[in-house]
Amino acid sequence: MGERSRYLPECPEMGEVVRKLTEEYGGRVIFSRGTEVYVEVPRHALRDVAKYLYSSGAFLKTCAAVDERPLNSSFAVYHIFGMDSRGYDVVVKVSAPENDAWVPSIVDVVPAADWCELEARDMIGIELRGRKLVRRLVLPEDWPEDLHPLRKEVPHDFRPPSVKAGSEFRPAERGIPIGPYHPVLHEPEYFELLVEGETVVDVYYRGFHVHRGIEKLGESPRFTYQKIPFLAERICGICGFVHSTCAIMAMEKAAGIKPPERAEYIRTIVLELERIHSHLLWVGVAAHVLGYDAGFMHTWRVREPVMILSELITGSRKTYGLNLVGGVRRDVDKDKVGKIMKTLDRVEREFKELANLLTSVPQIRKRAQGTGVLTRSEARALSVVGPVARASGLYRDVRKDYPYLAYKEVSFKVPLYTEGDNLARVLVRVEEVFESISIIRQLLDKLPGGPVMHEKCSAVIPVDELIPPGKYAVAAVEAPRGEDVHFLMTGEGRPYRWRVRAPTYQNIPALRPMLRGDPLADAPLTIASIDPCFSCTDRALVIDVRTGRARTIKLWGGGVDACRL
Amino acid sequence: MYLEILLAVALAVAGVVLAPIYDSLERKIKARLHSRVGPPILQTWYDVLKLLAKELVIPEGGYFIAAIVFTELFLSVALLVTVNFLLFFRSLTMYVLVAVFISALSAATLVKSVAQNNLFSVIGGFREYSVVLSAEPFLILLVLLIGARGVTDLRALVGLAPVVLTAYVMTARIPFDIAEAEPEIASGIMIELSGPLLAANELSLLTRRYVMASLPTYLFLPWFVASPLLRVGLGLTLTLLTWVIFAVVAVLLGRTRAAVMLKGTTITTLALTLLFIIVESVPYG
Repeated sequence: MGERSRYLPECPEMGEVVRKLTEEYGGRVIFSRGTEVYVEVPRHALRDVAKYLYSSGAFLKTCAAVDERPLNSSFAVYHIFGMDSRGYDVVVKVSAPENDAWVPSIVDVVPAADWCELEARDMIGIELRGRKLVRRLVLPEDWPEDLHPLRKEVPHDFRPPSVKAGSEFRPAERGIPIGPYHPVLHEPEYFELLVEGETVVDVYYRGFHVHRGIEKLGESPRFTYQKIPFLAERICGICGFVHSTCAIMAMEKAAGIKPPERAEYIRTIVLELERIHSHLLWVGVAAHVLGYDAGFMHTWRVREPVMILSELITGSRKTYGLNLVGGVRRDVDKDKVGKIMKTLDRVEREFKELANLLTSVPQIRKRAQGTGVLTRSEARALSVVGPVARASGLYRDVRKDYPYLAYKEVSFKVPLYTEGDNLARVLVRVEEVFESISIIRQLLDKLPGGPVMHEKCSAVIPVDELIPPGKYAVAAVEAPRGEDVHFLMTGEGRPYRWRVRAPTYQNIPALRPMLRGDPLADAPLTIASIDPCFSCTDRALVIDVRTGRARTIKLWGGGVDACRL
Repeated sequence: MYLEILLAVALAVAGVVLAPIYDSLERKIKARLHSRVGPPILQTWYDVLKLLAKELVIPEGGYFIAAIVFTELFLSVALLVTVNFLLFFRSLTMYVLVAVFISALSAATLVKSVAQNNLFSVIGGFREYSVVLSAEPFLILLVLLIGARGVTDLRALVGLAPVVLTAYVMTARIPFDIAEAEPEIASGIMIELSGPLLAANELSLLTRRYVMASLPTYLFLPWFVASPLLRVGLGLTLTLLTWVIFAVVAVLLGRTRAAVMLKGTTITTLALTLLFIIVESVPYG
């Protein structure tokens, strides 16, 4: 009770939820800070808790399985529920003793839990009771059955021998393979489309071909808090700054550090620059997919100055290397402000012309309208994020729901469409480009003075000593593709567990309802319309990609391990 | 007589040489409209020569595919030769020959795409079928009509519109490249081809494009211009011009869906062809 009163004044509704969880479901508050509360509930109550939270409007952000055997001889699963409309997170923990490692599945209550539950099964080896479809999601088919890479006893550089593939789920019928290498997917992923004539009737998906074991690396002795931002930004080749910011926000929360205002402004500016160049990239790719290469080339021409701006601010086109715990490494001076303003004017002018032209090309309109439809209820059930959610009438934007960095200081609108088709997703992104330009202008106008680095974070005291063990933190950032979530459990000098949930992870399952019933010709556009970022999605595992002998994917003659979405 | 035969053969040879150059030019035009620099003017020839130097890989489906690819190349060159003869010999036999070769060439392309043991290629084949169906019968009809009736006054130019439209469709440029549609079905009908086979395929496609670019001119020009040399000069110039126009149109458009395209194109070409027949059937004088 005493714990509750601490945050009651800030978030009165949160108190109500916590009261319900503790008094009716037998939960226990284990940690709380600001807009986050961590409640441990007994296993038998989890499904009811999930039902209650889901029905009161929470979105399941993700779940994170943790091997807590060194701490308390049990495994744990943390379900992170975000109360988007009220701006706070409820993290529900369930524990399972190591000799009885099971937790109830909540996938029939909260469909969005599908992937993260399967991932928990793969990575930690927790049994999911009550699930109908249990299969491998992340681990490859030749991975040993009882080896779970995120368990603490598995070294981060362990390379298991390849075993004979077990009986994995795969569709009986053979469909049209899209991937693992396909001109429209610029990263290896595998979709199998079952078609009748030119109409798609069902879809199978197999992903996670390129795992880099980033979560495991983060808790390995090779990395410390100081180094993790540099690892985090390499999760993605486009929105790297999103990941480093998100990881850093989690670490700063755990350390109790608030970076200087000026650093927050600079981070926000770079985040918005990233959104602009990511959306411009996407608009170009969408035009290319539709065979309109003129649109593709011109969008990328308009995008180029934004890349040069990124280099001006961060030192590299890829917005890498700027973020540190406690602040940023480079300041933005008057000269740079002028250059940014000038470039933004140009990009805005040129993209306005181009966007008008693109959305009026008949082939683009005709093919984007009414295809790849995702209804609002499907979007809600799958907890889709970002432009995909906003095109289906779901008002979700971390910048508004959980204001972070300098987003409180600026006014902007969140484009919302209800059609849920490919055209709506195009329009959402086009409008967001202009909103982002306006956000950067506002931020530059009132850029506060002062240092760009917290005084505690210097070379003298390593950051690693500022972050005490045993803390929790959840941070979310609105990436160009949607909400990016990082969950952190601190350890000695490095994370005990660091869970990354990239936006595409949440959006890929939505492709199945989107693709079904559409013409095959529009399938690539629909797949592209969620702006999939597979490198973000496939971040989580140690696999020897260099040998990969037994893991060759054969398109013909079996051996394909395609999973039901 | 001998001069004409010599000129026709020379023009056909020039066509084979020029087609890849015009293709480079098309890529250059496209690049400029995209605000890019674009490749050198001989780039397509470099590509073809490089492909020819590669090892010959026979795709799944056996030598039949290799045979059909080279048959297609042979047919497209044969079509090019006959079309050039059209410039000088306006007998019905010549027109019938052109029609036969157009038809045989399409048939070879279709056989090539469905014979490959690859799902993408088969889908491409069906798409190709719909493209051919929406344009080729009309083009053949128009060629035969012009051959049978001859062109006696400017009213015949009504036929120019359907000829240009069907010729454009037959070049498999955007939006009618759905049989290839790289982002959708990974180059469809060409997916199994590589090295020399791909080079042969490329050459036959480009030769076909050259024929289609020259056809509108070659069908009508001989009826209005008497001097053979002037025909050669005008024929070459107008072919280049048509190619450039086709290239620019392709840049401005996106790709369509097979069903949408089939309906729209068929209705338009049908209407234009009918119009031509009506205009032509009114007695002259």
